[in-house]
Amino acid sequence: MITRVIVKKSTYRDSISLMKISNSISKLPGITQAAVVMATELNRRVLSEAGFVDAAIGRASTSDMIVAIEAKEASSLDAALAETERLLSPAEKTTGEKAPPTSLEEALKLVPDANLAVISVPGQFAKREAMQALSKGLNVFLFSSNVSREEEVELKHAAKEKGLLLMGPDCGTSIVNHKVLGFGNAIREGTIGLISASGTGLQEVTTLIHKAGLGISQAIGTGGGDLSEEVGGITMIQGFELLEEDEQTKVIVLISKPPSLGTMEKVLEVARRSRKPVVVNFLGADVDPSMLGKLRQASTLDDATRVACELAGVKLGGAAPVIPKETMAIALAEHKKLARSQQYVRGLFSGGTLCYESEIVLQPLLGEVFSNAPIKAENKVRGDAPSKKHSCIDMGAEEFVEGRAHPMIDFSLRNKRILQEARDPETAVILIDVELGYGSNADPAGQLVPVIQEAKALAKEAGRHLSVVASVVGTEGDFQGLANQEKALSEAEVLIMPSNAQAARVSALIAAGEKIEPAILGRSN
Amino acid sequence: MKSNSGSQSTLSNQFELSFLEASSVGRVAYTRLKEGGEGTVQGVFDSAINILFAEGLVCLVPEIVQRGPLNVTLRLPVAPPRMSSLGVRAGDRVRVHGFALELGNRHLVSFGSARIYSPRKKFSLPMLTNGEIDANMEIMRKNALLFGNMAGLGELLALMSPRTAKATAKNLNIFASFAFGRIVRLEQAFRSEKKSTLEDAVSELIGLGPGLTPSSDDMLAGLVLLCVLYGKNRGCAQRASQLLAQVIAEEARGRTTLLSEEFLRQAASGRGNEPIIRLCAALLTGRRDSVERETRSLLAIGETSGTDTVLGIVLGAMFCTGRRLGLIEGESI
Repeated sequence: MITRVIVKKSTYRDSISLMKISNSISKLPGITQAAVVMATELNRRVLSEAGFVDAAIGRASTSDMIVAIEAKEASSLDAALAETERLLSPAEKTTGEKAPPTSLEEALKLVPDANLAVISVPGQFAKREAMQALSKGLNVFLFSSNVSREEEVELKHAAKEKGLLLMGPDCGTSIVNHKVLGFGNAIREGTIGLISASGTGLQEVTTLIHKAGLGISQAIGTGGGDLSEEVGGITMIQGFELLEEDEQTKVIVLISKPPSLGTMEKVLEVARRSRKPVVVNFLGADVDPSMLGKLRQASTLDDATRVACELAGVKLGGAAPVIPKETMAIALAEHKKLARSQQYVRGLFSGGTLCYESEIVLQPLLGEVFSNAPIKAENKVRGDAPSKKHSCIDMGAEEFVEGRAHPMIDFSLRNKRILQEARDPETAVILIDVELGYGSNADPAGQLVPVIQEAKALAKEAGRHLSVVASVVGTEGDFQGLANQEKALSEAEVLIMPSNAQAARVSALIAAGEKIEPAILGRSN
Repeated sequence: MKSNSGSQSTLSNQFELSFLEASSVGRVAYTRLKEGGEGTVQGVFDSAINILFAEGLVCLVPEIVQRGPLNVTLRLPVAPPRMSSLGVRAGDRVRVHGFALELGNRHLVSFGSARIYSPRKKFSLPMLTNGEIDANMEIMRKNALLFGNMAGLGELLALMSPRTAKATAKNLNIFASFAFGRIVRLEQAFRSEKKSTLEDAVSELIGLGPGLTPSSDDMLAGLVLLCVLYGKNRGCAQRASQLLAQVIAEEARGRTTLLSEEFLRQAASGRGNEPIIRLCAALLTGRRDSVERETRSLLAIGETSGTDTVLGIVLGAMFCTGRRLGLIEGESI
């Protein structure tokens, strides 16, 4: 083993940067130990005791930073040192170079013809910033959450009066003129226009459309509160009118969790007047057929994709739910490997709508599904409580993200939960979603694979076989690389399904076995 | 906007500076700023710009970081609200003019209408019994194990439960492993009420671990702050707590980073950043919901700082209530 110590005089980085650098260096090939710490007396002593002997350590003072690396060979050490320098350099540059704009006014001086502002400030300041943007004639993509319903109504009325669109608050995804705002994927240009009150729902349908070989014209996010009684679907209706007038859009898809009844009637009334074919996917909503008229209803996100593609001229496979025979066989073989105690599906989701959709799929097949965001109020459980029977947990819920990055970026809480579920002798299947694209973690599979391997090993040690089923929301154009991500997960023995709903169906089949086969195939027993 | 080359800027050319407004100023920061004069930007991070004045540090932070004795919280018109995006750099000069602070010839920070933050050391609700505090500690511990970052000393929280202790003890990270026996000695020193023993124990912990505020310091800050607040609110200042506060304030000098030294000295005086004070209050006077909420809020701070501070607060409560530390206390592992 060879070691190297570098002392950076009077160098400060915040703790997050120090830990990130430390972790990045530790993971490089051939590196056995790495530490990036402030040169306090005790840290110097700990490093000495860990085998880092260098006169520079003794000369360092508490305001200096020490980088200590141990490697198996010189080439690994050199590579690690070069990487350390690279990681340490950008922050130095960003503090010295020309500062980015610090206000809307400054930003507009830089881009005077801008017509849209993306706002992502803490909720308490969001209304002020959004109002400013509207007053300057800008459409708004409002990523901020924790904006009250009253403020949302006020903002949306102000936008509507000015003929502007306010997407949000709490709007995770939009694709406007082929530019992705917030979380989103690289989607082909095409003729299907979407309006969605659900961020991950929009990601799921747009990526499935892309995978089917078609593309989108626009994808407008409205924010989760738009279809509430108070807001009345202002943005969805405005968005609908825009798509109605848009020449490129030939088919319109509406996506949401169940809207309030009054708002649903209002939105569907506008949709029924459309000259274009419309697909309605209000997940779990009880829509009276008389409210639909000629509108096409879809029960799940993959079903919405199938219907939209068909209306756009491309017929996909059979009607959902369909599980290919080979997949059925794999699922039933997995079921046979389970121990007697293993009965339940444990869904752990980054995407709130994907969690909700899974509950909608699982409940008719398996019975009660417990969740922190349940479809039935009586099935509500705390997100951090140990799982109860069949469970679907939305790890992006407020209780998990306070002060933290969203689980699409920070996998730490979900990874802990995966291990927790693996230890539970009642867990048969862990069901997960994986989101690629802008804003998401740079390597989701890299985050998940070691944990899934550990989870499977934990179960094996206890004499059980643990199934893990996933769907990957993404396209080959996403910077993480869809094929690479799916390959890495498959190699960790994760069963990859083409859609979230399909992943839920297969999970149900693994947990319950042949007895639900007729239900899966849509036959009565 | 002016370039950063000149140093002749005065309030007369403030129209060339961008204007930022402070919403709160910590009592200690206010005292330092009131002295006027010049300071130097010591470090620029996403969550703070630290300025060194003759009397000590003042930290400019976005409002989301919350109030603290050294903090000046700013309404930042930037999304996301990162101090590093203001274009200020380490070494820039800072001048105080009345109730405004000229920052690196780029920004003028007004604290004239800011509220002064000075947390009450006496809580508004009555203290819980030691048994109830025990139950709250357990909630904190479990939440930290579930949601915390274990790269610092957080792993030691698992040693307090016989169920997880043995497995954890075998795999402690280098810093937790180093601190493990020293915390046992600190507890013994605390109970001995001997200053020299406490000095030895504290000096063996200050400055240990990763982070700009090393993990052990975050732990000690939480521990001593809880001890001081427990004494104030029980109405019977414990000699051991007083001694511990005195020793930590003295031993911090020169043994750790400047920022950490400042935090330790403030904690020893019963002062801390808002999330830490709120968690101490919840632990000693609150119910499950508030303990959980405040624990999560503190865990979200920094990389390991939040978790290490929660560990310190749990240890402080154990020291004060006389609860045994279980396996940490010396059972062989």
